[in-house]
Amino acid sequence: MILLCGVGNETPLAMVHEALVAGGADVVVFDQREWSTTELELELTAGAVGGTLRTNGGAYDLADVTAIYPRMMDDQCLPDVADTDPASPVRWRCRVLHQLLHQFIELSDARVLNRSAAMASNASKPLQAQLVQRHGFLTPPTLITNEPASARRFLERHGQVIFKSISGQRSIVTRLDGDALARLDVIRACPVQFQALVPGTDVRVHVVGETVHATAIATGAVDYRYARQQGSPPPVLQPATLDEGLARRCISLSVELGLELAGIDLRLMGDRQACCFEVNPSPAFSYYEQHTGQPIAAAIAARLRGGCLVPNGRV
Amino acid sequence: MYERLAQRLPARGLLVSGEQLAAARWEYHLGDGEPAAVHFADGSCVDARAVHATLNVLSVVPSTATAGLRAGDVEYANAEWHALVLGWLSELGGIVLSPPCAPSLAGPMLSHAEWIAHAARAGLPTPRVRMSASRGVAVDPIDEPLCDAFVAGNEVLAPSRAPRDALVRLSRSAGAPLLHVALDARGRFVSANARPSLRLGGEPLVDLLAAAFAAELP
Repeated sequence: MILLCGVGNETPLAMVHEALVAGGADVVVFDQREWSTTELELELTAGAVGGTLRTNGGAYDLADVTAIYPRMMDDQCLPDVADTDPASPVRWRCRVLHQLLHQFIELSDARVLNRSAAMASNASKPLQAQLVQRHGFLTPPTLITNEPASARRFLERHGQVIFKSISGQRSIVTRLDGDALARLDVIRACPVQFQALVPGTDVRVHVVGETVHATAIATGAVDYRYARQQGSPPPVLQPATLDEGLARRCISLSVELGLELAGIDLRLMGDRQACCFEVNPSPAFSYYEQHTGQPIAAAIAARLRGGCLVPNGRV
Repeated sequence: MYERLAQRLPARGLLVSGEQLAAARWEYHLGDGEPAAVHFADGSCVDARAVHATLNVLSVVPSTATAGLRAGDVEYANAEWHALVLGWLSELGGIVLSPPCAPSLAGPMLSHAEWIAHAARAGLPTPRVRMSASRGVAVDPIDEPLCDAFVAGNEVLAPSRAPRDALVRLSRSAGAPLLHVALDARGRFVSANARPSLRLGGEPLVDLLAAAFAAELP
């Protein structure tokens, strides 16, 4: 039995669900919008977790779960929870249900794409950069600072510099120029990550277990996700082929991070070197699949159907 | 307690508080061979990669880091500070007790159920736990009195009846080279903490930490 967790009609989750159903898989969906009618009971005996999930009219033995695709939004932001009093019983029960579900996902022997523990490195870009460098990827010259004078010196040294968030909080990659330089004093209370702008081609690599799907992105924007806001035409996405060594490095990086599914952001430079900016542990792959037709949802479904590879499921 | 530990180390020790980190001037370089430097108000500077031994019990970056920001910016800024300090602590060289374990700044951040699962796999007797979204949590009763055990690297401070090998296995499997474990009167696992207060273990814990550092330092 394969367990999908998230908002049922969210595009990536819906695409994986559709691929699993098309392949005849036994699938259960915990739709977060159904949290108030869902019950979860766990039992931990001698370190092994079991229990029952009751949702959407069915009751499911958690011992039968062989794979899980969690793609959950913050439960405190669910529509019927967000407007409630922070101390209300409604909010408390929703929180407890989600906490229990997270605990099951962490403790289960099932294959999970991905566990929270494995996703945590994305909360700190400098931490992730240390792991990335061990796999032969370059990190652009980077300065994280709360000192405006240091940022100015970094700009003088490298000529073209961008800035972005240090954490997993979404931010728009922006060039450090006139407007931004005028506001540089604000970094004293909130440090910022500055990076030398490196030339090359953006490539998003989705690693699903042992398979790799690379997408090249042609854009004139500093951040292709926000091309329109940055005054550029929409990016052009095309399937790309990585050389075998680079593909293996993407897989080994994902394995070291404990990720069954990863969205790796690379910039390929002319001398066959690759800069790695980020490893996204919960990638919205649907954007790339819809633009290129690359079968990423099908690869995720196949990985989920593969179940456990080793007795305790930690692949 | 921290000063006493610092006095027993063979190299110069520096005590750094969360408030000092929050008030420091940061110049953390990556990818260009420059240092991961923090400049403190007293003029001293620490490059994380040049440190030989660290006792790390930092739980959060203090709110003083974001004092003065608009309320709407505080959540974002807190995440940025946390990410910065987490990355910098991960750069620390030599022996680190407890190393950061994302998203935690010091030691793993595990639920009680996850600690129990690790303890069982390490060979410690564990209680049965039942958890329900509607009915709460029920745990087998604890037999008092409890006893405290500590692990620091390969060193163990525990009553003679405590299963030392299992405690070290728990420390390793949880990624917590510094660990406090409470056991009940029947030797069953009760709880664990990867950021124990030195006061809890007193002078014997300081001795244990000094021995763990001495075993790793050149």
